[in-house]
Amino acid sequence: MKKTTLVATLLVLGFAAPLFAQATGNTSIYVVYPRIAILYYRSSITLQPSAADLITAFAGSNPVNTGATTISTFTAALGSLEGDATTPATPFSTNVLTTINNFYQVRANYQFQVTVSITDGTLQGDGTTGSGNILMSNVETELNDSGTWAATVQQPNPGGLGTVHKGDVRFDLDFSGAALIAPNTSATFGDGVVQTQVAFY
Amino acid sequence: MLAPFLAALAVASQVQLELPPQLVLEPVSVEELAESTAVSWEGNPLPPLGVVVRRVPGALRLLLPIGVSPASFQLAAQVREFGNRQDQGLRVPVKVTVLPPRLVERRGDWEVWEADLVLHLDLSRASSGPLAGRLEVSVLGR
Repeated sequence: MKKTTLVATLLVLGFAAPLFAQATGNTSIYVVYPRIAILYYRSSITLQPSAADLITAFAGSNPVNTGATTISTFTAALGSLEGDATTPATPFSTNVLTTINNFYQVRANYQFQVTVSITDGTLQGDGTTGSGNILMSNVETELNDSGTWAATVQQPNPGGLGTVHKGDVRFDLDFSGAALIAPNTSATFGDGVVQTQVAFY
Repeated sequence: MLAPFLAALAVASQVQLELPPQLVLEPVSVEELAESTAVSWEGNPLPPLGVVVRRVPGALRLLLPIGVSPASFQLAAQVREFGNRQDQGLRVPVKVTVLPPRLVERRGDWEVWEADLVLHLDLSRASSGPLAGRLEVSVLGR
């Protein structure tokens, strides 16, 4: 009798409810994700162009062939003949366009723009190795090798913080006022400042 | 002799789950993703983004008959369809961990066990704005 009761009870339990209890619940979940932009910038960059690269930038080659000159006007005196090859020593690029790739990087979760500016454009000679100065001007930037250069560039599709945007910078350098102090064979000019700003738009 | 076993079997089939109607997590800050909004970087690979972790104390409650251990149940939680409404189809992966429940109170013949949730949010592809989704919790007898 006892055995019969047990079997019956087990059967009733087995049909009345699943053998293993279970429960499921749902709840809404929220988080506020504010606009975020992270600028990775370089605190210092040293440009170290070689003499050959500088000469190429200034004039294309060294020596510079300024072209054939026919001198037809001479001043003659007894035992002498003097003419003047007046062709100026050109070409000479006063402003050397200098590009620095990967100057900065940006992560953002909202459309942003980058503005570059020169806050100190005078690279002063240190007085020991160099005198005078090199002048910076016309700074521009581009994002992700787009080929679009401007002082301010925009990125409408940031793609989230997992996407890194590469920023290049270019500016003119005017070397015409810089000189080396003998006997140094190279000189240091320094402390120009390029400022990079990121903002949402 | 078999009566206690039957009683235990009967009560083990009972479990109640309590969840709040909504969970509002603490807003994401730039400090937990990077040092600040401007990071000095000397051309090395960029530092990885910080992981956004949210611990929700007492996020869920289990009501079990006295004497029934929560260890006899498998607790699982997942977040579904979590994302920004503007980015339809783009979902933010969220990993959810349920921490071991602790006994917090007795209600008559029931014991109330409370468990914390830990959520890891992968925000690498998400756009800014409110992110919303659905937390689904299931309790299954082992």
